[in-house]
Amino acid sequence: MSSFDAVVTVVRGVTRVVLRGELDLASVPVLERELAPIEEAGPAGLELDLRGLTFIDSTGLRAILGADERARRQGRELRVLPGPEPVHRVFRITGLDRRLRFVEAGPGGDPS
Amino acid sequence: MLPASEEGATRSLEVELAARASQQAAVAELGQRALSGAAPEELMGKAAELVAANLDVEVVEVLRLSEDRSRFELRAGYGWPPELVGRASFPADERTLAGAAAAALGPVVVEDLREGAPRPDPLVAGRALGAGAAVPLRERSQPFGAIVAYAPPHGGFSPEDLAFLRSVAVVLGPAIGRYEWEQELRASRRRLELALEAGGMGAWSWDVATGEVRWSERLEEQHGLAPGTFGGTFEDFQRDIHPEDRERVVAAIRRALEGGEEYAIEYRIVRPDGEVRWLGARGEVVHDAMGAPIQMVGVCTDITERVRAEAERDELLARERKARDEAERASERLAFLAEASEALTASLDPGEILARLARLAVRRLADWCTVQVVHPDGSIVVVEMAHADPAQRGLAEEIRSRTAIDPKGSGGVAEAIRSRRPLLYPEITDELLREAVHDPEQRALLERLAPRSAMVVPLVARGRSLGAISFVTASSGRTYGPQDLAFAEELARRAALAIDNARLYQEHVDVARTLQRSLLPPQIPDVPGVEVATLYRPGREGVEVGGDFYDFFSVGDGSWFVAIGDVCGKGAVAAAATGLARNTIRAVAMYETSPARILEALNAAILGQGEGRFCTVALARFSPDGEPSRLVVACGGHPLPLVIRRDGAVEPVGRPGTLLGVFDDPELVDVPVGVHPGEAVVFYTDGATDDRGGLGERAFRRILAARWKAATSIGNAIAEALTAGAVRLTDDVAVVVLRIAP
Repeated sequence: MSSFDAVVTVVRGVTRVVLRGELDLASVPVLERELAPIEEAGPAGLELDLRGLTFIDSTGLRAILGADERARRQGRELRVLPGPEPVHRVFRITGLDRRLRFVEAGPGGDPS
Repeated sequence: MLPASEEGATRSLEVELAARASQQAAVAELGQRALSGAAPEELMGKAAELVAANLDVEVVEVLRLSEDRSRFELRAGYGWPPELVGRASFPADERTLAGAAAAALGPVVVEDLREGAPRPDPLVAGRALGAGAAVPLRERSQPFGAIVAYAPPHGGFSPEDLAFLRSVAVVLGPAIGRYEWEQELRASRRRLELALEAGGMGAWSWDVATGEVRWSERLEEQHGLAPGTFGGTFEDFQRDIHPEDRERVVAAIRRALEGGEEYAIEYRIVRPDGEVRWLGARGEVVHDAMGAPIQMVGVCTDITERVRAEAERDELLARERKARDEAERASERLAFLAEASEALTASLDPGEILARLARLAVRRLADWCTVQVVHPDGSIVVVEMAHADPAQRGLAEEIRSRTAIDPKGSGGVAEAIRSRRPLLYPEITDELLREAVHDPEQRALLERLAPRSAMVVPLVARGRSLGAISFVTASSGRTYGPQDLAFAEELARRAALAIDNARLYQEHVDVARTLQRSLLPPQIPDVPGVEVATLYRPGREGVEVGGDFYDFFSVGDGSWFVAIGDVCGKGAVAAAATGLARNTIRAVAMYETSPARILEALNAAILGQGEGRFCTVALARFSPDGEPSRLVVACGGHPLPLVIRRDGAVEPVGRPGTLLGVFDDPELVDVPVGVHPGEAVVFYTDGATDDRGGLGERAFRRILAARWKAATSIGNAIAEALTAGAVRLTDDVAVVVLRIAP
């Protein structure tokens, strides 16, 4: 069974959604449930932290692409902290590593 | 103490006779009064009066001993101030005249009171009196008082006077005694009645000789009668008894009278207003000295509330017991049904489900069970047969193999299937068997199984009969009732559901496979000098159509296109998107040679659909002519194809590009690659390298890293690896292998 959770934290006005586990067909609705109220509130900054993901499939990609698209429409930017190699490889293969705003985590876990 | 003197005053004979007659008349009068039931006080007053009238006396005392027998109380008298009578008393001393008479139980006379013993009592102390005489008042041998008379000074008592005095005492004593005994009896009877009433009991007596029946007011009240309105005969009593109980009551009374049996019975009476009450009666027979019954006496208690309470309690108990039994049976059934559901749904194979159904049925519901199925052509076939007794299975199987069911037949399986309604045969009679089974040989076989009771329940799903299940009892002797039928229906419902699910699943899988096949090229074209192997493996047991596809086609100028792709998602919508991708590539490839341009066109086509359903594609144009053969590869977000060199080295070819259907400016680049004879190119979808359920990137490359002799060997190696124990494909896998013939 795949396991997944999304934890929302707000640090210095930036809302960060920390994803853990497998992001696939079964867990995408969980992520979308978490994202909906945050996007409605329209935060100054929104980050998706993929560092805790162990797997992502095409529906997971689609969910992240959707969040990115909504952010662009609202004139915001979605920042993504890349996941471990097996997860990030999927972004590379699909060319999304060049399309999404990937940022590196700075010292102390914050994006630089 | 002195004997009575014979001496008396001298009188003339006439006077004497007249006095005696008067004395006799006085005694008679007193006796009369006593018999008429006069009260003791009245009798005592009369006695004092009569003594004073018939004897020459100064004082008369009628005395009674106090209850503790310590004092004489003056209850009546003559020559006394009225205030003393009923109040004065003196010690019951034997030295007084009264005390001496009571002690002697006989008359005592003292001629001269001054002599000293016995002496006059303290009440007359100081009075000038002549002789004194006292007689005891007694009831049987028990003295309870005395009559004392004192003559005037110098006066005395003749023997006749004394006899008169004794006569008065003899009448008065028993009269008082009897009266008081009667009083006592009456009081005790009243006390008894009060006690009975306090206990809610009515008293009755029945004089056997006269037939008179007496009821206490309470008993009348119990019968709903006003006080004193009971008729007073045995018939009146009988009439009140409930007709159904009458005979029983009379018989009980007869047994009590004749056999001396105790009379104790409970029966119903009907009150005048029609209300029925229950009475509990007890009684005894009173016999005379000869042993003949003369009377029955007894009591009745209204026990209606008790009887009702008992009936209610019995009913409650019965109801509770029934409810408990039902609850137990219900929970047992539920447990069985739950178990059955689990067993039935554990399989997705309709045949296996039916076999399980039959086995479950003989465990709980039947000695013998058959399952019939309707085939698409309408025929009804027995597909399962189970018998609880292993020894009978052979026979049951023989019957199964020989049974032909006419789908248009009446009764039994055909009817249950047609009407979609269950049939219950509580008793299977010979007649019923003859009617149901026409073939005598088949009937003889059936009879050997000795069917007793049967149920036929259709297996209905979505308003359609899939078949029927027949439950039959034999050696258990059990007969089916409506509850069993309801239970069997429940089991059948669950079985039908499981079968329907299994069928749906089967159909779904079939549809998925068919659809999938339609998305793949019907056959791989034969390309001279090139070996081709393809592999398609659905993930998740093939329930849903995957989004993976591949294609291989010629464009007529000696080049070929190889496409492999993956549409996001599964199901019919993904299948439609897959179709769009494949057709667009084929169409655009007719006029466009650059794989990157073709993918750009596909990107625009998907965006034009506006469904947000992206896909990844690796597309290569392949020209086998020349050495090395030329391959131009473009990747739209798809894993790069791998080239296996002759030495077994594996290297990805092409440049990662943007997935298709999301951005309107995808980065897509054509990369030329040379492939030499004996080298191979492997196109694949990410289901194969999936870390979660697939082989993983590294393992996949390790499998490919070898010196291969044929494209099919590469395909087989991948297929084998995918079926290995640890692999649990969650995603579809598509692989296309091209190998340049050496």
